[in-house]
Amino acid sequence: MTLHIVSKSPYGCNALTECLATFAEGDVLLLIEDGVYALTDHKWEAAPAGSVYCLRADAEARGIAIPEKVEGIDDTRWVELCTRHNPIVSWYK
Amino acid sequence: MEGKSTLALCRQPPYGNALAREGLEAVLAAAAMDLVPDLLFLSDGVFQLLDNQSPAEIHQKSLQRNLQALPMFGIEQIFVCGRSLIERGISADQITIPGVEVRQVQDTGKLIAAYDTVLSF
Repeated sequence: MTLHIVSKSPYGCNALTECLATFAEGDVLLLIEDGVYALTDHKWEAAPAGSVYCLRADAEARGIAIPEKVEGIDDTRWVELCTRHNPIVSWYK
Repeated sequence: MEGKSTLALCRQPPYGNALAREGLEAVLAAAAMDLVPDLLFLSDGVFQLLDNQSPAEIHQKSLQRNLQALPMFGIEQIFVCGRSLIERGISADQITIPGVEVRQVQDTGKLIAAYDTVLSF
């Protein structure tokens, strides 16, 4: 069960699209940094319900609202996700 | 430089990299030297204008203070790409710079073509 971490805006970069194309059952998606701009669009809804997380501080920094179906998390919970998933894939380009 | 018109393109989102901030700083520096550019926010650059930004927790300074300085430096022609806003689900009331009117443009190509010099950040 892979943890996918996307850190780029979906408008300027294919990272999220490519990530979602590889999504397998049990995988989860974490949006960080400019990746949180994906929440202004609907692409992330291609991931199964309950499997999408975002760093709350990164969303709040950018003035982006976190939808109900996305769990806003802090760094501690991020570390916890890292310990529960293997491998971890960073989509940073 | 008298009479030469300059447009700065602001294309980057505010906190993921330094270009948004550095672009605005270059624009303010140019304005302080009496070269007052116009600005066009487009692509992910429109995210610079979103209200409710609070970047303290990611240890960054809000970009909104730089934006608020624009009119103080005489920069008052500020445009935003209407199509970029629609693509990102941003409505006109979510983007404001106190003291300036941000004007939406639909034909960015035509706007850009009217300038002598264009800077891209």
